[in-house]
Amino acid sequence: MLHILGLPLKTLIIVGGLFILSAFAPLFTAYILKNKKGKWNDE
Amino acid sequence: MMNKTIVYLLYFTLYAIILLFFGKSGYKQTKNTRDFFVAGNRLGLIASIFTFSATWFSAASMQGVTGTLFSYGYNTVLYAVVPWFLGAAFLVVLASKLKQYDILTVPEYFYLRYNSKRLQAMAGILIVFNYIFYIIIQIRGFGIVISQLLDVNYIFAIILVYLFIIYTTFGGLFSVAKTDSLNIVLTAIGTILAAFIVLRDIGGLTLMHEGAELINTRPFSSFLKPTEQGALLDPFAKGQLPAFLTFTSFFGWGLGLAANPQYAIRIISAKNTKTAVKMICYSVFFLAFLYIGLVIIGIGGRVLQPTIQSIESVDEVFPYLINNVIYSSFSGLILMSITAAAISTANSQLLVAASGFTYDIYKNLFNPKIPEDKFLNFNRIFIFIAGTVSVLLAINPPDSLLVFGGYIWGFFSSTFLLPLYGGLFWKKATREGAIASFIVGLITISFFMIRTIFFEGNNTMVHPAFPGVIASTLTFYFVSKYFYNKGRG
Repeated sequence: MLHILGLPLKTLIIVGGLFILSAFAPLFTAYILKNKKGKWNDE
Repeated sequence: MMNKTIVYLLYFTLYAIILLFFGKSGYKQTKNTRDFFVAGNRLGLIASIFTFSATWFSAASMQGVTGTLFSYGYNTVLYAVVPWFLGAAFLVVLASKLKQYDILTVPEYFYLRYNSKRLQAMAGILIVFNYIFYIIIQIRGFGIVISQLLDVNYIFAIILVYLFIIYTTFGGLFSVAKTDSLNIVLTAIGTILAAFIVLRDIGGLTLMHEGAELINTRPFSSFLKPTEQGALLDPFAKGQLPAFLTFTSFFGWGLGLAANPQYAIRIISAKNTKTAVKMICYSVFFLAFLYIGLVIIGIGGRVLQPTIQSIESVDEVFPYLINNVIYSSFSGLILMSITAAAISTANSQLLVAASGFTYDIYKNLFNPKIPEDKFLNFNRIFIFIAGTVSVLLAINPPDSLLVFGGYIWGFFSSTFLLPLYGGLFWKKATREGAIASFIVGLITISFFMIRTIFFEGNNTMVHPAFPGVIASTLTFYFVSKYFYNKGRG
């Protein structure tokens, strides 16, 4: 099995991938909402 | 070399002095209830990020996540960290709407949206219970560290927690936010230092993973069974934790975070929606770096010492590593950082618990015209009593901070989630639907939690919050729809 930095590729993709995606999830959500609304209610 | 205990005592004293100084300045800024609960709705971005991150990064993270990584490996990231971050995305959605309401507490939103004082009081009661139980987690975390640090008895150590938690909470959210900034900086320095020392001792990330892949011992002697070789690097710990349990933990940790008043209150206290949204996004990035540090400490610590003989639970792993395996002149600072993480969460929770009792129950139902100064003093009395109850309950604490914490968060996802988000985003949401979903969610998670704790134990396949959220969602939808149509007809 392929390893990167000693970590199996499967773990890197599942755990690392979900970790990065979830860390960006709030930012993605904010971006989508901001684009949809134009500006925040109290802006 | 100076005696370990004396070095720790010096760090502890220095921390106490700085904390007292930071906490004091918050007192002066508090003039009324709004200042006390939500810092006058005027926290700026930096202060908001500090207090949001410090409240988030608790003993359940520092000790729970690190110890669970040590025992189960990378699966912990999927069980706890990923659900938390996904929950934070929900908070962004919440922030986009919640600031339209002029509220001091989350249950007050229930009153305004559903015109129900009863629902506000029910939510207040749940907040009081949930946070008192969650503060036990922090006190236990604190107690373990202090008893390691100063070589004192656990019970004596948890009584010391009074000084800090109660003092910082007495000054309201301004005090909490100011001490949070000190605590999160300390927590971050401690985490980074510890991760750096672990990596240095092992010789790098690759060697860490290669070493972890070979481990096949028990993490500590009373642990259920030995780690299967390769399990530490397997996404599902080679079946040690069922994949479905990992998936359903999102309903406890993730949705529990999304519906959690301790975060909603920081949205309310931020000066505007833009600040609240940025606070959440930036805090999660910052926390992501800290969790990478914990991954290195937990898995790297296991490589440095595959079995720790002298501990009983996962929560003792981190303090043990710092005090023994990677002991250095920085150890005092790192151990203080674990304490800082516990205190900065406990004081936030104690403040929200106080608002749940004094504002959502007492003022709401019994004494709406109580004068400001009396009301603030009443809050401080409650803080003192709730702190005392938590300390007493912490004398006989739960086995695992991370598992116990997931159950408590599950109570929030099963009760608050639907009335909160449903009320903001679904115009057909009704008072009857909100109250019914709150009660059904509460009964369902209580039933499944009791079943898990007393009958299934470690064999459980499903997180108790999963059926709780499903039941409250269905109830919310069908009851609201029925009463909405009835009202129109």
